[in-house]
Amino acid sequence: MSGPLSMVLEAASKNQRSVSTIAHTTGLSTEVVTACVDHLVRAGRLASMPLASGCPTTGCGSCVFRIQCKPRIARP
Amino acid sequence: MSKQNQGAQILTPSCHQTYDNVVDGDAVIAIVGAPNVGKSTLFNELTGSRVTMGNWPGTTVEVARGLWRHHPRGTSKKECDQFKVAMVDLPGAYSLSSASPDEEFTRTMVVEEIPGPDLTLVVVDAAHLARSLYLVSELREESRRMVVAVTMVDVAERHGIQVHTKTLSKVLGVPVVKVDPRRRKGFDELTEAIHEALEAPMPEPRIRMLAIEEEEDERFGWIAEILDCSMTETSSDIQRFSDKVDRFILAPFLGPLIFLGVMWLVFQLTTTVAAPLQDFLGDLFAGPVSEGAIWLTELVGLGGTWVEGFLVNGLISGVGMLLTFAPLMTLMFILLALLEDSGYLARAAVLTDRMMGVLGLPGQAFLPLVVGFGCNVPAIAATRVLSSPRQRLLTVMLIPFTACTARLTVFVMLGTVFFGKWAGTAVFAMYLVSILLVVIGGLALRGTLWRAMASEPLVIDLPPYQVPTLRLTWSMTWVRLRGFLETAGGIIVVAVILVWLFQAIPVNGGTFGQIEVADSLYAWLAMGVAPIFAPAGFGSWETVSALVVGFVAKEAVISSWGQTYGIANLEDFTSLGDHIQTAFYISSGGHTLAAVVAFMIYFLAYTPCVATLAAQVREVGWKWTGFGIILQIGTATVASIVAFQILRLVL
Repeated sequence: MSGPLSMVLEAASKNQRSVSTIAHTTGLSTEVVTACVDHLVRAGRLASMPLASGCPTTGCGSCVFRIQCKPRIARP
Repeated sequence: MSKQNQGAQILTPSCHQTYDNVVDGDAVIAIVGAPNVGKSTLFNELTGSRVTMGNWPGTTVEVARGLWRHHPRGTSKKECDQFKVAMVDLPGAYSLSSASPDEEFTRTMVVEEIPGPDLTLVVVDAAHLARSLYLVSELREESRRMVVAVTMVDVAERHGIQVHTKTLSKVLGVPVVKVDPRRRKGFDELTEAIHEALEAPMPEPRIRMLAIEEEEDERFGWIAEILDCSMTETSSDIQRFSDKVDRFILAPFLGPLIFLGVMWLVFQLTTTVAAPLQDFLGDLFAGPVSEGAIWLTELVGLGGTWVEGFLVNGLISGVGMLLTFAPLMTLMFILLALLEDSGYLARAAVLTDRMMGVLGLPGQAFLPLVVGFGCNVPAIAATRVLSSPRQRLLTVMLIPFTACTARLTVFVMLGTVFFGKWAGTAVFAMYLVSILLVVIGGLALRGTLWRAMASEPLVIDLPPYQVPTLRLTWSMTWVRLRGFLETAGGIIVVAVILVWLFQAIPVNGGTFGQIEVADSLYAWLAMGVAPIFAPAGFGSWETVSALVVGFVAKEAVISSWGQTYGIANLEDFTSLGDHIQTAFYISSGGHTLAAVVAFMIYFLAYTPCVATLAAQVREVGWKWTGFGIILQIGTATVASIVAFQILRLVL
């Protein structure tokens, strides 16, 4: 049996890194792929990390670079 | 008594051992759902102020309990017709898998407690329906009364998601109602659905066709089928555009080619467009600024003294030479910011990561490594995102091989001096060498020290493409440019002072500050080390001394060259280039280009700067930092010698 969860895990293991590429490869909807990724992350079988362009809109709290980055310009 | 109440009366707990002790009502409803789906908002709106907060008896789990009083449709408003439902707001849970204490508690209260609640109200988020439905799929495998309340419908619609509740109800086999707790919408429908469910016979559980080890897969398969018929999604134009573009940008072969092309263009544009501005600034420091400083020292009676030497040959030669790179760095930072703000750099990072993954390196390490191409110091701090200490250590060891922007300054200078119109390509080649060193270093360490290191698959949330904004582009450019200027005004000034001091101390007689650099302590020390680099083709004291100064900060290599050749007293920037060319020509026995490439490789691979060393000590301690220094210098030496010995045969 190769259900959505196995398909997503297999795609991620083969270096399919984004939800959209996994969805494209597996033929699953992005909604289902996102749910599978969340489930696998909770189960500790997959890692997930955001890769925002520029500074994260959620503020510095979620940024791994905040230790060194001390901007004097207000974030948008 | 109403029909509904009669139904509820039948179900009214007479032997609710657990629930009996803490709740009271005509029926007991447990509200479950994933965190942040609006579960507690719905609970609060239904129960109003009649809420009790506290730990569930015998546990440390905090549970809200309340009484929902209402008059079912078709009944009078009299007190006796009021239906009282005990509501228990259970902790947020994605599933019943007992992955957390909250989930375990929810599982116990809903599935294992006998008898359980009369009805389970599952709250699901319309904007993340698949995620929410996993809990529903687990609950449907039990024989229990259930109603599904769909929240966040407005949010879902804004994202182009439409949930068809009638179809969803049919395929789930339980009532499904849309509710908006904040606006109290859908409460009548919810009340009706709950009463009907309480009256109805116990629904048949969903039968799974698979073994227990495949149950999770099967549930998601069921969810996928349900979504196919009960949800329509119209992705936004920008998302559709991003997905289409990503097919090319992230393609296995085309993607890396596009990435290489883009980066080549960035370096080529930087070196060609900014060159005239750099020449202008070079002339400015060598001419009016130096002349002004000389005039000023003469005015205060210090002309011809060591003070003038320090100002002109020290500060202006060193820091001034570095500042001529400010326009070039600005242009580079603007181009990188445009790529970053548009969302392209995130894709480029994925491509880099994919390549590392193919070679068996841990996927999670790619983010700090990508940051390393900006600056190694925050990159080392960023390794904290890695969960495994061994992965963290491996990544900290590899980061110094990433070509930071400080090294870029020197690459651009050497590229301009030695490669002319191919300067951009030369700089670009150094970035490729940098990636190669990371890969080879990673493979070597993984195959030896970290042989048994496991790596878990990784998925990255990619932002959609967007038109870069002026504000964010400038913001990112300024943050990086400020870092460059702060380095030039801080640690480089210190390096310049130290270099000037060493260059002012005579070793073969003479007066302090009034000697040729070749007769100074600075040159004497460098001459002692220089022979080591002879096999790499750059064993001259002028070149080696710059490398030693580069330990402090990579930009200091340029300032030290400026001081060594007293560039402020010369006419223009090309004069410095002439001096450096001559030094390389002599030390390489005429194989200048081979020696320059070897020097650039050494410069790329050896210890980045004291700030990086401090960051390494902080993250992995002295022992591993020492190992890292040996690794970097060893790699740099071997790679540069091999490069020179091969290239001198062809160049």
